[in-house]
Amino acid sequence: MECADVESRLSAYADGELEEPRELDALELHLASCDRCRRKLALLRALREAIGALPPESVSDRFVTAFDHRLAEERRALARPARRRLSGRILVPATLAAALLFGVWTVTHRPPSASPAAPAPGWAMAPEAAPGLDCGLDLQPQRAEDERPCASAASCGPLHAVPGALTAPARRQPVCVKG
Amino acid sequence: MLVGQEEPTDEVLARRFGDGDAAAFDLLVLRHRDAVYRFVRSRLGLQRAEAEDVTQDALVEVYRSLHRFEGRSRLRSWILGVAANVCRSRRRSRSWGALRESPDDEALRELPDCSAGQEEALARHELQAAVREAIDALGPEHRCVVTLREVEGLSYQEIAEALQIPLGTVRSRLHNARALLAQRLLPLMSREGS
Repeated sequence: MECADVESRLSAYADGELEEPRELDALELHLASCDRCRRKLALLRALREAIGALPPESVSDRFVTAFDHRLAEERRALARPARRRLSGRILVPATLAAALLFGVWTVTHRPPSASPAAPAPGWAMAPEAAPGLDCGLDLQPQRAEDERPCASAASCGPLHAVPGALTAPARRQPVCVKG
Repeated sequence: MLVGQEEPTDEVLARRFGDGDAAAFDLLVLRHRDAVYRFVRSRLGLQRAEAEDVTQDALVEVYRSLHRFEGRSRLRSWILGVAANVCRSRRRSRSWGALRESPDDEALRELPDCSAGQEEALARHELQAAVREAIDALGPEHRCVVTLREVEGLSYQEIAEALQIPLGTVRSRLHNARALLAQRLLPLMSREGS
């Protein structure tokens, strides 16, 4: 290793940041025989010592007070949008769900039309109802073939099953579902 | 702190903060605010008031983004990395030209302690002032690596992570910075040594 090679590595060597064993050996071998490079290393160490002896700078009391206030503001600011985000996350879907339910309820519970058509084939969607409030019929979803016109539709009122309500609301026909 | 009870590491405090412990962040600030301040000063060469303002910005940014800390590096170098980013955006800002490299009269206010040997104290103060002046005279890139290494005691790897530069660049910048410092300080240091 030549002086120029050693010089470019001296800083890292003084910091203990040379880890390659062969590089370390070659450098130390050179230092052992080169007075000039040894003096440079001594100067580098003295420089590090002088910088290390500088009294460390610290933030002022003004900073401490000002930062306490700033952090408190930041904590409040971060808390507010979090609440907004949370309420948005809950309120928006809840509102949509409520609107959908209301829509379904409105469609399925519209009074029978004057000229009812035959119920559409397929699954009849029965509204959820508390047992015992209607004419005693089972309101579970049933196949269309189990449906028959309801004689007591007028008395059953809006709690009664309305088949095909979701697929063809215009052709609703009140039916009683076989129990 | 109870006797025998170990202080929580930075990484433990970061985890506690993530779990909602606000006091953990206060402790982190207490530990690192001076280092962030020194880094900001060395990076931007600002007067105290401006450097403290940027330090506030940097610590608030740490507060906002600490949940993203993944523990792949030491928290100290991660925090200084956040500060480095804040310094970069401050340099790009419009107000930067008016602030940068302002002369600082703080050194003039730091009078030597003359109680123990006036001559020795004056000589020490003279050397310290000269060292500080020589560091301040370095360019921001050199000044910054010297501060991180000599004052904050970061390893080359940690400096590379904080400044987002290659390890070889850290090595060459430190080498060049020290060569410049030695050039300036050699006469004074030779006098001290003799």
